[in-house]
Amino acid sequence: MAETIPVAQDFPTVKLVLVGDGGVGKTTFVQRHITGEFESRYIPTLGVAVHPLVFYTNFGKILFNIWDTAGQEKFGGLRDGYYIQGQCAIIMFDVTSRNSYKHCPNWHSDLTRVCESIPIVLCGNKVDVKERKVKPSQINFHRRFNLSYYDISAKSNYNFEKPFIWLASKLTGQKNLELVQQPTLLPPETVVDPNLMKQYSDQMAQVATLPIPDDDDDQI
Amino acid sequence: MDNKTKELELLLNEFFTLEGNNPKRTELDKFLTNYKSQAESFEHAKYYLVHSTNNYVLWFSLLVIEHKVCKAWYTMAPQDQNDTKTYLYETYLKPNNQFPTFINAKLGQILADIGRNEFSPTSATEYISNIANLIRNPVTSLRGVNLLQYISEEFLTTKHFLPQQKKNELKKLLILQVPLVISVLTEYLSNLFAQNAEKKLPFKNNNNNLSSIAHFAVGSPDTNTYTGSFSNETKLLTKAVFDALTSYFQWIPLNELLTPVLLDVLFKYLRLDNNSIPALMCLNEILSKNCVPKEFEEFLMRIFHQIFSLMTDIIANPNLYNSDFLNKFTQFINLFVSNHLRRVENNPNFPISDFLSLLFQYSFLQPSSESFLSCIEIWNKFLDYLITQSTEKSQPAPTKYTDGLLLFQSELVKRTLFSFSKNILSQIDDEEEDIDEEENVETKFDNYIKQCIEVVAKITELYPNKSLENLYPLFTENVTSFFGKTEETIKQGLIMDQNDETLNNLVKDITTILFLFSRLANQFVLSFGPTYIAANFIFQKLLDMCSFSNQNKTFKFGEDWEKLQLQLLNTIRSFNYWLLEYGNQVRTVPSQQPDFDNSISKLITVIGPLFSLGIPEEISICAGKLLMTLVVVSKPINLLQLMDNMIAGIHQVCGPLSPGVQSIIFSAISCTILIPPSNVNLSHQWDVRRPKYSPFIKGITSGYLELKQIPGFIDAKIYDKPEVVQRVHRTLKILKGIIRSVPDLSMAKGILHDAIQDTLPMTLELVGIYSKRPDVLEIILDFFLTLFEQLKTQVGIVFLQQTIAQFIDAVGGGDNLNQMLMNSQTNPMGSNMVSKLLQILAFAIQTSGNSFESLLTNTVDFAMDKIYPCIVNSTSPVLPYFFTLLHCILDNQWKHLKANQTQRLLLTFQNSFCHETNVNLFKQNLDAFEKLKTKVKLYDKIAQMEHIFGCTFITVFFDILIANQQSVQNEDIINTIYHFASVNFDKFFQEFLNSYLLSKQITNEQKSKLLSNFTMDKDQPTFNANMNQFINDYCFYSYLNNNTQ
Repeated sequence: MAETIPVAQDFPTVKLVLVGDGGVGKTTFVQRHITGEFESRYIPTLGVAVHPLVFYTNFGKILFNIWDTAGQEKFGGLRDGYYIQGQCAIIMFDVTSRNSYKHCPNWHSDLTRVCESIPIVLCGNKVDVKERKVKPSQINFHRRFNLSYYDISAKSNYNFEKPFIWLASKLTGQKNLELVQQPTLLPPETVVDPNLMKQYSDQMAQVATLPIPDDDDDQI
Repeated sequence: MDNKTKELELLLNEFFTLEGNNPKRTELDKFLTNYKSQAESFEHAKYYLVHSTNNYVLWFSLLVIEHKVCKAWYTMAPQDQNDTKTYLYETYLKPNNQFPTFINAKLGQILADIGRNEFSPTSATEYISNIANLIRNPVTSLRGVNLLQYISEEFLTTKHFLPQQKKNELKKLLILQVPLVISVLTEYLSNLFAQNAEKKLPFKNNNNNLSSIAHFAVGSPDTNTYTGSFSNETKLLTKAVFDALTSYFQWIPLNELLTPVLLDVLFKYLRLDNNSIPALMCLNEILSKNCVPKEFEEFLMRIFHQIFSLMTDIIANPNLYNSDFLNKFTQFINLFVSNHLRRVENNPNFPISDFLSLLFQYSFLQPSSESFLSCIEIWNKFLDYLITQSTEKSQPAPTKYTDGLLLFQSELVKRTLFSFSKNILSQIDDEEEDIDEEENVETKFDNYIKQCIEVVAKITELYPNKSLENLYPLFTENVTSFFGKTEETIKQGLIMDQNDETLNNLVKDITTILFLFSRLANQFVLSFGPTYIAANFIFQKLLDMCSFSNQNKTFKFGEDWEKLQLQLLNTIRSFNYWLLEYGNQVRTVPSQQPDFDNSISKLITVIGPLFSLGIPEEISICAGKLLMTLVVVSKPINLLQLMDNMIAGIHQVCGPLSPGVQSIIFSAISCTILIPPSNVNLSHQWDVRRPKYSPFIKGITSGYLELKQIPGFIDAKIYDKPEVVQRVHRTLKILKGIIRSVPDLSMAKGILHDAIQDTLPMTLELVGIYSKRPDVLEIILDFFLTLFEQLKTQVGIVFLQQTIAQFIDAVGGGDNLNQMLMNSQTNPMGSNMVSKLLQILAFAIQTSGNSFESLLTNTVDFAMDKIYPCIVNSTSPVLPYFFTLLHCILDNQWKHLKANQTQRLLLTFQNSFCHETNVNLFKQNLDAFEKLKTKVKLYDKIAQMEHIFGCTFITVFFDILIANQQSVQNEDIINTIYHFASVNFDKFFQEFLNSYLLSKQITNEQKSKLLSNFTMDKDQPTFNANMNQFINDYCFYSYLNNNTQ
C-alpha cells in the first residue's frame, strides 16, 4: 500500500505518530511550532489531529506529518489505527507523573505491534516544573528498547527540535544530520531563569553560590 | 454489500492520505468511530474480512471485531462466539497468509483478548498448552510465539477495558502458567540454536594476562563461541521469542520463574559470532530489575562469568563485535554494576579486581566518545558505591583498588588532553552550544571533559594523597611551562596564530587542567597542612598567569584563549575556601600575616583591571563574581584596607560599563564594606565602615535623585524620555543587586537602609508618574519586592502599606487593568507587572500579621474584584501568582478573614479545580490545599462548612478522576481525597460514596458493585488501591454503557 502515502515532489514526507498518556503535553508540544495554531489550555484531543512540521536540515528539507493521537482511551476513535504506516514515533510522558512513565511500555508495545522496527524517541516533558518526580536516573526504559531519550519542555521550547533531528537522522541514515535553520517556535511561556543558569554555569562544585545580583545583560 | 465495501475502502484511503490537519479527516474520523460502534457493523465487518483485500478495510473490520470482543463478548450467542473465534484462528494461522504484519498482529491481539475473556482456572492450562502445540508445529511456530507475547500484553493491560478484580485474577492465573510458557519458549529457542549454530574451534587467546584470570567456584556456563547460520526466517523467529520473553520479564517475579536452562540458552546466543542483540536486550530486562532475593547471587555469578568471558573476547577481538552490540553490552555491564555489584562484591568467588581490569581495557577500546562516556558512567557508579561504603562505615577506601584506580585516573586524564588523545577529542563537537539537565550552557566537548573530570575527582576523593601526587605534575609540568613559553613568544614579538591548531589544542589542554584543579581545590582544604606548599604554589602561579593574561590581553588571541582566561578566574574562585582556611591558620601565626595580605593584595590587583571597557563582558562578570566570592567566603581580615583604593575609584571605573556588569561589581563593593571579618571587635568595625558606605551609595544614586529637579520632568513628559527611563532602570537594578546581597546582620541592614532612604519616597512617587508604563512599573515593583524581602524591619510596615496603596491606585481596575492583561503572549509587560504586584501583596500578607486589618480587606477586594474578573477563564500567566496570593491569605490570615471572605476564596479554588485545564496550575493549587490541610486543618474546616462533609470539593476531585481529566495527577488527587476522607471516614464510606453515585449514569447494579468493592479500610495503601479500583471500574462501566465509544 506504499503507493497511498502522499509523497511530496522534492522532499521526503514522513508520518510521525505521537503517543502518550492524556495530559502529558503532546498537543502543546506540536503546537509550539509557529505554523500550528496555539492553545495553551488542555483540551483533550479527540481521535487524532495531524500537524505538518517542516525542518530544514543539511541534507535538505523534511516534512513530518505528526499524528497527534488521543491519550485518553475514551477519546480514542480509531486508536491504534492511527499508527498504520507510521514511519517514526514519539512516546511522551510527563516527568512530574510517575504513572505516565509507567505506561510507556504499553504505548511502546501498542506501537510496535502496528509499526515494526520504526525509530522511536521517548520524551520526558515538563522538565521546567520544579517538582520533578521521574528523575533522569530512573528513566531507563528507552535503553532496553533502542529508543532515544530527551528531556523536553514544551512550555519553554527546551530541546524542542532534538527528537525530530534524531528521527530524521535515523530515517535518512545520515549520522551527521543537523538543522540548518532553527524551527520558528512560539515565544517560550516559561523562560529559563537566567540567574539560575548563571548559578548553574558556575562549574565549581565547592564554592557556595551567593545571592548574586541580576547579571542578565539586558540593554535598556 | 460490495458497494459498502468499496465505499469503506474509499473513506479509509482518504482518511489515511489526507494532507495535514484537514477538517475532513476529523469528519471521517467521527463517522468511522461512530460506524464502528453501530449494532450492524459487526456483521458488516465479517463480510469485509472475507471479501476485501484492502488492508485498511481488513484492519478496520478487525477493529470492529475487537470492539465487540472487548465490550460485548458475553452478550454474544455461544455459536457466534465460536464462529468468530474459529474464523479468526483459521485466518491467523493460515500458512503463508499474505497479510502485512500489522494485520496479523491485530488478529493475534484479538485472539488474546478472546482468550482473556475465557481464561479460567479450569481452562488455563489447556489454553496455554494449545499454544505450545502451535509453537511446536513448524508451520505455526511464529504465530504461536507472537500469541504468547500478545497474551502477556493484553492480560496485563492497564487500560480500562476490564474490571479491576478481573485484572487481578487474570494476573494470578497467568502467573501459574508462566513456567509452562517459559519452558516452551526455552525449548524452542534451544532447538533453533541447535539447528542453526555450531561450536567454533576454541579461540586461541594471545593475551596471557586475561586467559589466566579467575576460576569460578559456581557452575560455569558454556562460554564457547558459536558460528550461526540463521536464515532470515529463523532470525525472525528468534527475535519473536526474545520479544515474547522480554514481555514476560517485565512483570513476572523473576526470582521464582527464571530457570537456569533458559539463562544458559540466552547466554549461548550471546556467544554467537554474529552477536545477538535481542538476547542481550532480554538479559538487560532481567538485570534492570533491582529487587532480587539473596538466592539470586548464584545467578549473578553466572551472569558475571559471562560478562567476564565476553569482555575478554571483545578485548582480544574488538573488530568482531559491531557497535550496536557493544552499546547493549555496555548497558548490560552498567546494569550489573549499578544494580547488583554490591550483592557480589564481597563474594570470595568474585574476582572484582580482575573484573575492573577488564572493564578498564574495555572502556579504553571504545570506538567513539559516546560509547566511552557510557563506560565512564559505569565507573562513576562504581566510585559512588565505594564512596558511600566508605562514608557509611567511616573507613578509608579499600586498598585493594588503590593501584588500579590510580592507573585508571592517569589514563583517564590523558583522554581529556589533546596532547595524548587528539584523534578522539577533535571529533567531539565544541561549536554547538547546548543546555544540559542542570541548564548549564555547554558544548559536547565541555560535557565530555566534565564527565571525565568528575570521575578523576571521585578517585581523588577516595585516595586523596596518592591522587594528588599523581596529578600535581600536570600542573607543574604543563601549565607553568605553557605560560613560560607564551611569555617567551610574546617577548620575541611573535604573534599568536589564531589558526594554529596545535596551539589552540594546547590552550584547550591547559584550560582542561585548570578545570581539573578547580574541581580538586576542596582537597587542599580538607588536608590543608600537608598540602599547603603545593596548594600555595598553585595559587600563586594562578595569580601570575592571570596577571600575565591581563597584561597581554590574551583573550585577543581567540576564543580558546578567552575560555582559558575565564577558567583561570574560575579556578582562583574555587580556591576561596582554601583562602578562608589559610586566613584562619594565619591568625594563630601572626608572623605570616604579611604573606597572606600580599596574596590577597595580589589577587585584588589581578581583578581590578578586568573592570574596564574593552574587556569582554563575560570576563568582567567572571572577575566580579570572583571578587564577590572573596568578600563573602574568604573574608580576609584586612580586606577593607586592601580594597581602599578600588572602593574610592569604583564609580569612575564602573561608569562606562553595562548595567549587568555594574550591578555585580557594586554589589561586591557593598559587601566589602558591609561584611566584617569574623572574630573581630565588631563595634570598632562598624565605626570604620559606616562612613564609607553612604558616599558609596550616593555615587550611584545622585543622578537618580536629581531627576525630579529637571525642569518639565512631569509637565513636559521628560520622564518618558528613553535616557530618563534608562537612568531609572540602571539605578534601581544596581540598588536591587546591592539590597539582595546584603548580609543578614541587622547593623549592616541598618547602614544600607540609611544610605538608600532618600531614594525610597522618590521611587514611590515615580509609581504614579509611570502608571501607564507597565514596563517601568515592573522595574519599580521588582525593586520594592527585593527591598521588602531584605529590609522589612528597617523599612517598616507603614511604608509597605503606602507602597501597596500607591500601586493599587496606579494600576486601577476595569479597563486599564484589562488592557494591561490582554494578549499576554505578545505583550507580556502588563502581566509581568501585575504578577510582581501580586508577589508583593503575598509578601505583605505573609509578614504583616494582624497589624493591619485594612490591608487584608483591601488585598482580598483588589484580588477578587479587580484582578480575578480579568483572568478567570483565561490562560493568563498571572494566574499562578494570583492563586499563590490566595493561598498566602488563607495560610496566614485565616483567623482574621470574615466568613464570607473565606468562602469566596475557597470557591475560587474550587472553581479552578473544576475548570482548570493547565496541569501545572492544577498541581500548584492541589499542593496549596495539602499545605493548608496541615497548617489550618483545611479539610476539617471545609467539612464543617458543608453539609455532607465537604461534598462539593470532594465531588470535584472524584469527577476529575473518573473523567480522566488530569490523569497525570491521579496519584496526588487520590492522596488529597484520602486526606479529605480521613476527616470522617464513616461519613465518607456511608454517606459520601452513596450520594456521589446517585447522580451518575451507570446502572444500579454497577453502582452497588462499586460500593461493595470499596472496602472500609482506613489505611492509605488500601484506600488508594480502592480508589484506583473505583476509577478503573467506573471507567469500565461507562465504556460498557456508552454506545459511541
